[in-house]
Formats: sequence, C-alpha cells, structure tokens
Amino acid sequence: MDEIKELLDKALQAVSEAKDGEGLEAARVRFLGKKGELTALLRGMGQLPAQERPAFGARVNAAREELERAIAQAKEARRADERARKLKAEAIDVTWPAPAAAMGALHPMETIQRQVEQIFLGMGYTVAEGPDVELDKYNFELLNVPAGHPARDMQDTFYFTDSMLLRTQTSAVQARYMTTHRPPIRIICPGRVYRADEVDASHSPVFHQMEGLVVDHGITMAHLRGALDAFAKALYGDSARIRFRPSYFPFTEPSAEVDISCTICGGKGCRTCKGSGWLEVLGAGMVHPNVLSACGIDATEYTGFAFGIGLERIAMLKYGISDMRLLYENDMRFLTQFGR
Amino acid sequence: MKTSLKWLKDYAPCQAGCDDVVERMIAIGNEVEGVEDPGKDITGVVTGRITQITKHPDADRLQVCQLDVGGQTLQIVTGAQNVFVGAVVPVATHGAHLAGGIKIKKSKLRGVESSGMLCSGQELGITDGHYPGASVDGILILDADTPVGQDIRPIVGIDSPVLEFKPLANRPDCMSVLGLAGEVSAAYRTPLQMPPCEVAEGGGDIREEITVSVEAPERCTRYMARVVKGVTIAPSPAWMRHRLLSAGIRPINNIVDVTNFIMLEMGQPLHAFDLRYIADKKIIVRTARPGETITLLDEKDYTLDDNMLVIADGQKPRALAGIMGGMASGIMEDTRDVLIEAAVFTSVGTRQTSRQLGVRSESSARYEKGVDAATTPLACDRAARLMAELGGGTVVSGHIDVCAHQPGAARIVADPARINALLGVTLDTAEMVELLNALHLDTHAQDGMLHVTVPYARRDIAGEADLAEEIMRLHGYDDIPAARMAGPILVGGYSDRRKKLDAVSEYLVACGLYGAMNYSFTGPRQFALTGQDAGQALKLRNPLGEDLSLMRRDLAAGLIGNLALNAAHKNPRARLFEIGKVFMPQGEELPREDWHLGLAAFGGVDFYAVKAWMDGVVRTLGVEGLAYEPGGPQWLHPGRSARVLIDGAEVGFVGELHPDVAEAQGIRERAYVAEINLEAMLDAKQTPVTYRPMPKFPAVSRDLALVMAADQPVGPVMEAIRQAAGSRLETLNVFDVYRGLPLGPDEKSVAFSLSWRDAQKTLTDADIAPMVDDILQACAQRFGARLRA
Repeated sequence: MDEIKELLDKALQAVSEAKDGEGLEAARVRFLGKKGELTALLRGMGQLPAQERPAFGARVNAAREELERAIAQAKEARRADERARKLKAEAIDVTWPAPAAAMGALHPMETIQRQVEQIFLGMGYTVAEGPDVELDKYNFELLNVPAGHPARDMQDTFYFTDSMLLRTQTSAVQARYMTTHRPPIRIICPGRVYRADEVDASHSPVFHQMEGLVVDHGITMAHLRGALDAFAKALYGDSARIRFRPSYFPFTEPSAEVDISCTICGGKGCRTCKGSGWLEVLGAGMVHPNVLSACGIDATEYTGFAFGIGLERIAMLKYGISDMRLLYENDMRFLTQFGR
Repeated sequence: MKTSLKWLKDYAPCQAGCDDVVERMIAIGNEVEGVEDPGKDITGVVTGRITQITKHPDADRLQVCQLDVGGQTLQIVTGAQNVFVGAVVPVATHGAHLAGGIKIKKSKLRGVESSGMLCSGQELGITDGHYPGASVDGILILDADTPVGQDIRPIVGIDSPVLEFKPLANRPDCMSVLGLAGEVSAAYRTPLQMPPCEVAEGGGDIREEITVSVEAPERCTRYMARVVKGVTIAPSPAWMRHRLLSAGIRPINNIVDVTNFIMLEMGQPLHAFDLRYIADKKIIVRTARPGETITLLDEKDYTLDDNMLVIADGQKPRALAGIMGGMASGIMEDTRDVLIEAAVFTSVGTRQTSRQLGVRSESSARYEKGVDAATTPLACDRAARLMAELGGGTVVSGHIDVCAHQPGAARIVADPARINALLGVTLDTAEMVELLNALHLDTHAQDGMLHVTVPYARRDIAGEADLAEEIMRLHGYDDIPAARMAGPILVGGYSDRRKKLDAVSEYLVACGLYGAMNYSFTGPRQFALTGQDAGQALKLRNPLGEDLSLMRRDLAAGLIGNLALNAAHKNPRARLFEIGKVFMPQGEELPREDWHLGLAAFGGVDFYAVKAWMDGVVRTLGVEGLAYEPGGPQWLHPGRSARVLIDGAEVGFVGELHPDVAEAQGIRERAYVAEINLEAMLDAKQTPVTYRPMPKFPAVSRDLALVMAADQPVGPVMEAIRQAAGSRLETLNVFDVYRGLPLGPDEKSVAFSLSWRDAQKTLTDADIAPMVDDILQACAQRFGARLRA
C-alpha cells in the first residue's frame, strides 16, 4: 500500500527538483503520462481483489490530483521567476532624457486673438472679415468721418490713392457688414490695422484690433456694459471690473473709454497701471445714428453698440512683453517661449 | 493743454483740492495727462528783509545777516555777495524744504549760528519768467515793497498745481482755460465767471488808422481789429506771467503776453502788429502770390504759394494767417501803437499750410480744431482792454469787423424716454434738465420733451445721442448698469475659410513649427530678394520709409529675413510658418488679397521634411491632386527645388535656399523655404466624411525592385505604376534605393511596395500576376526600367 505514497513522494521530489518548464514537463510525462509510473499503478489495479479496487483507485487518483496541483504550482512559480528575470534584464534608465518633443506654437498674437474670439463666440458672435486695403468710404465716410473731419487727424492714415487706403481700424468691416446684412447683427471683426506711426517700443505701423458690433431692436448702453463686463471677467477672472469714461469716437455716440481693473495689482495701483489701478484696453459706444443711416439701417428703429479692442495691448499685458517690436522679429528665442 | 488749478478757479471758483478736481474731470470725460506741482517740494520759505549785515569773524567770504521775517528776527550766514541791507529775500527757515529735496536746518557756520538759508531762484526751482532776477547767480532779490513773513510760493508763482489736459478731438472749446473751467463749473455746480471784456475807448476813429479787406472770405470767416495807441513795452505783471508759465508759454512782454494770455484763456488766437510797419494803413487777407517770401517770428524764411493765406499790408505779406506773424511787423521794444487781429481762419486751409511749411504754433493748433467766431469780439475787446491796462495806452474808438459772421445757437428737441432707452437707465426728465443746464446748455422741459439751446462752441452736440452722452457723462458713466441682451438666439462661429486656416496652423504647430508674423508692407530690396517685380506692387503714397513702401506679394521674402535674423542671433534652429495676406493690385479696384502660407526652416531639417509639412497642409485642407515637379524660383537651389501643383495648376514652391542667397543673408546652414497660395484650397468644397464598411478580405502585397536610369525622378514612375496597377491598388510606397554593383554606373534600383485588395474576394497569385506584368511593361516602355534580378 505504501507503494502509492512512495511513488507520490518520488514524483513530488522530481517536481521540486525540476529547474524549468521543460523539467516539469518531463516529470509530468514520467509520472502522469500515458506510460507514466502513476498511470501504470492504475493500470495494474486489475490484479487487485475486486473489493480493494475502489479504495486503491481513489487513493491513486488523489495522489494524481496532488501531483497535478504541485506541477501546476511549480509551473506558475517557474513562469513568475522567468518573467521577473526578464523584467529585471529589460530595466531601462527612466531618468534618461526623452527625445525632444516636436510641438511648436502659434504666434502669441494669434493665441490672444483666438482667446478673445472664443469669449465672444461663446456669446453668439460671428467672426466677420474684411480687406486690409480699404476704400475711404468704409474706413471713414460711412463711419461719420467725412473728408476734412478733424477726427481724420486722430489717425495717421497710409494712402494708396485719394480713395484707397490701409484700414486704420477694424471698424471698416463694421461698415461693410452693415451695408450687406440686416439686424439682428452680432459680429466681431479681428484683423490687422495700419497707422503711420514710427516704430518704437509701444508703436507699430501694423497692429491688430478686434471690432465688435451689435445692432438690433432695443440695444442699450447697458447691454454694451454687460457684454464688456462678461468679456473682462472671461479674460481676467471673476474679480475683474470695468469702468466707463466718457470719450469721443466719430462713429459712436455716446462714446466711452473702457478701463479694466489692473491685472497686475488688482486695482491697488502699480507700475503697469501707472498707479491708477486701471488699464485702458478698449474704446466703445453706441453706434452713431448717422452711421446706421449711412449704412442703410433705420436709426429710429434700431440701435446698436460697437467696441474696439487693441489686441497687442492685451497680449503685452498678458505675457509681460514690454517692446512691441519683438512681435515682428520672429526670433526663435522669443517664439519658443509661447510653446507648451 | 496745460493750466494751473489756480487759473481754472479764476473762472470756476470752488474749494476742491487738486486730486478731487482731476478725478471729477476724468469722470466727466476730460482726460488729464499729468499733474505737476512746481511748489510741492518747497516748504518753510518766507520773505524777509535784511536789517543788518556784518562780516563773519572767521571767514572772509561769509556774511552774517539779520533778517526781519515778520514778527521775529533771524540770523543767517550767507556766502552770497549780492545781498544788501534793505533787500527783501526768500528765507528758508529751520525745517524748510527746497527744490531737489534739500532740507534746511539750524546750524553753525564756522562758529556762528545760522537759523536757515537765503535762497536763489534756482533753489526755488524758478526762472526769470516766474520772477525777474530769478536766473541771476546769487540770492533772489525781491521787490522792495514785498511784505515780509509771507509764503514765497504765491509771490514767485509756484503755489498751484498744473494740470495737463488732453482735449477730445470734438471739444476744441476745451483748448482754452475758460472751456475747461466750464467743465469744472459743471462738475461742481459752481457758476462760471466770465472775465471782463468791456473796453473803455479813448477817442479817435479806427477807420482813420486802418482798413481791412478780406479777399478770400472762404478761408477767413471773420476778421476783427482794434488799435491801441501809446503803449509802453514792459514785462507783464506777475499774475499774467505765472499763468502763462503754467500753460508752458514763456512771457515776453506785456503786449505779446496779452495775445497769448487771451488765446489760452478764451481759445481765440490773436496777433499784434506794430502799426508803424503796416504799409498804406491796409490789411488785406489774401492768398499769397507764388514766390512771395516772408520771415516769420521763428526767424526763418519761407517761400509761399497761392494755396497759402496771408495777412498782407499794401506791399507784402506780414503774417501767415492763423499760424505765425512776420518778424518785420512784430512787437518790438519801441512799439507804441498796436493793431490787434482777432480772426477766424478755416481749419482745413490752416492745416494744409501748416503741414506744407512745417510750421506749427499754439495758434495753428487751435485753428485746425476750429475757432468759435462768437468768441472773436469778446477776445478782441478784452485784448484791447488788457493792453491799455498793462501798457498804459489808449484804445482807439471803434473796431473793424469784416465778414461779421456770428454763428448762432442750435435748438434741439429730444425725447427723454429715447435717451433713457439708448443709455439703458431711468433718469427723470427734471434730472436731465438739471444736468444739461449745469453743462451750460440752456434747457427746459416742455410737453415731456427736452428743449435745448446749444451754443456754437458746443457744435459737437447735434442730436439726441449727443445729449444722451452729455447727460450721462455728468451724471456718471459708471451708473450705467450691466445688462444682458434679449432678442433672438444667435449661434456665432467662424467662416469655413477661417476654420481651414486655423486647421493648417494647428497642423504646423503639431509638426513643431512656430507662427511668424511680418509686416504687410516691405520694400524694393525685399522684392528683389525673391525676384518679385516691385513695379507690380501696390505702392503706399506716404510710407514710413522705402523699406515699408510696397504691399507684399509673397511671404517668402519676409521669412528669409526672419531666417537671417535667427542666423545672426546664432539660433541653432529655425522653424517658422506664416499664414498671411499678399496683395495683388487690380488697377483702380481694391487689390486681390490672397491668403498664402509660407514655411521657412534651417538646422536639422532637409528638403523632404519641408515637403512632408507641405503634404500635411494639403491633406489637412482635404484637397487632392497634389504633385511636385522639379523647378521653382531662381533664388532656390536649382537641384533642390520644386513647383507645387494642385490638379496640374501651380500654387507655389518648396526648396532649399540658393547658396548665393543664403550666403548674402549670412545663413550658413542649408535653409528651406516654401510658399503656397491657399485661396483655391480654401474655397474648395471638402468631401464630407462618411463611414465605409471595413474590408472583409485581406490585402495582398508585392515588392518590386526596378532598375532605371540614376537620374530618373521617381514621381512619374510611381504615377505610371499607379495607373498600370489597376483600381484595386490600395497602397504604393517607395522604400529603398540602391546604387552600385552589379548595376551599371548610371543606374539605380528603386524598391516599391504595393498592396492590392478586392472587396469581394481574396486575391490570388493568378489575380496579381497580370497586374505586375502591366506595371513592368509600362515602366519598361516609359522609363526603360527592368525588374531587378
């Protein structure tokens, strides 16, 4: 009877001595295979008395199961060992620098323009565009600035001919749009504008503006304030405040300079805001009735507001750029700073 | 426009301090550019009379003065030599502060007690204009009758802060102290006090003295004159000098100062002629005769033309109308009889002449903005009155007033409800009436409407919207609430073109490129760089310089300049793209503005990297039919440049910068530039994306190595393979090129990998073989290519 136990012990010994998967397989074949030693015990059972056979068979099967378990466990253990060895062998130096990431960046002006656009897109504005080379008609005449108007002196205009010029303001798009669209109008017009300013740290003959225009029934200056308030908070956070100061633009009446509470000091007064706590970032007002009429919109029925944002100013404040010339040099040492 | 606060308060008396005035003026729309307080550093300096001078016992150069400073005597040691007994001088007492932050303390000088310091003009920060003698080297000697113990600041005119205003372009009335005082008076609801203008005439008849004729009434809408006889030229009194100085005008003499004073005070420029030098007792306002010359008060000679308005006498021009007087007829030391001119010249004419000759003055600046003819008679009379008063002369009876155009006031009727609706506020009609009246706009309510009388000086007010602004700016712009718009729901968004442009820039950023931005105008040198014809460019009439005079026709020139800058700064790499407009003139029409894309790079980049970007851009735009063929502009490397075609039409180029060009630009690395016109692709309709079921049958692939001439471009070969391979060809790639034995010296072997797929079945060798045969045959025929053994 101890034949079974002896054989099992021998088999377990063989399993524990097997070095790898192959050794285990050999042990399995040797004891459990068709011609295996344990299998042979079962085969030889026929020679036992009939009444002893069930008990013998049960014991052999129990031994067989135990051996199978042992082989399975051993196999798993060997596999885990091998995997661990392999993992160890494959270890790399994760502190080794990765190859340089290839991502570039938009020009900072482009980034700012898109940010501002997104704010107004969220409020249902459509982006409209117009030509850089404009007719006097759209840049001045329709905007309540007839020839000889002193407001023409406010902006030094680049001319090609008496009637063709480089737009001095994106308001020109406003005039174009109103002559071709009926209210309700809700647009923003981003783009390059041009003024004959000599180049220095804070002046560039080419710069960017974004004009906004809303025309509909019952539009009030309070709506203008609401829109710009939302803009300021979206751009600079919920603590941003705006202030209206009376001003003059020929194409709006009433007109306002709009200041935003200083983004650096929060309004306490610092060098950026020259101690005032406010930053002048845009001009706005109610569309002058003459402009509506000139563009074929009934000024007794409709009112509207318009605003113009200087994008360079916003970019320079946001990034702390002190010299406008940097924006047009395209020096990699500058541009790569705006990558992410 | 600068003025002392004190001068403003002459007409708008109020108790408010400087900070408060500045704040309220800004709040109602008068921009304050700066505030200077010339006397803010000076404290503790009083007037004192020297009662005794003794020599310092131990120092030859020092004197010991006893001073009466009103109620007490101070002993002060001074090194100055110009002091004398009886002199009234500024005394900095113990604890006083002087200009430049100097603090005065009691001390002993060589053993003698000194309780302060005697001051020079410089130590008070003043010049002769403030007080005669202030510029001399030594102690400032004040007038002998100056009372002692007085604060020195009012005496030398540094007792008031000076405010610099920046009047709005539609408010020429605020280019005068009275105009600004009107704003102060509105802000503080204090009455505006007009200066006295009544003049006491002393007999005679002006018609005996002078005749005036205006030959160009379209440019001179009013000309008034008065004559003051028997004046004595002398310095102006302190009150006038100090006011002029606060406005930044240097005092000259009593007569000239009166003209400047009234110009600043009332906004009406004046000119004073020495009557002796007006030939034939005639003033003629006419355009200049071509070639006439004049020497102006700036001592420069000018040659005039017939677009320029002059004030001439019987012989020649004596002044450039509204801009500057002539030397020869100006006020001199010995002038006795003065002709006062108070005129209105039109803004456009004044501006043109001023620009043309490059002469600007306080006077021309005011004419350019527009002078109120209603003020002219007041200013003329006030000038005569002040000249008589300060110069001791008499005003000749009568005045001349040619083209006596006196503009009237306008009447506006406005609806308070509409004003509230425009502003988004709810103000009472009574409140609106009060606000408008405070702004000197005579207003009453009648039948629920506002009836407003607007003087010519406020001709910027023409309608309801203007009144709305007036009402709200005085009430307070910050009381406009923030409201949300009602109305229809509008869905905003970008145009399809804009979305495509953005997609291109996002693709290029992902490829590691950086957005660049160049000016829209360049110059002939940049045009030459990329072989563009400057004659074809849209040309600015008034450029800032030649290099900024032509609207660009390409982006490449600017980008090459950017590469050069990056090379000069020793940047190891440049990766730039610019998406921008170029300008193609169309005669009288507005130019065509085409969106272009430019690429530029050097450092760790080759032709194929740039070509890959170009491929990606075209793919991003959803456009097919992209091809390259050798060629491109002259300034690229002839063997490393290609024309870019879409459906056979040339849209741009890609290539390596020609070594000559690179060298000239100081670029040492191989540099690459590409540019394409995006217009056709922006307008192309994109095929909408629709899902296709995944293939059910596997693809079958074959590799073919073809031997062909070494200089055979592979593009046409691939095109031929594609055509010969049939419609079931799925992919075609080139993956290797080999030169060397056993191939001939002028041969190369190019390895292609192809795959086919059929939607209905798995392709067999038997299916593939004829297609391979077709390919080999086509390549043999067209390129003499053979299968590599």
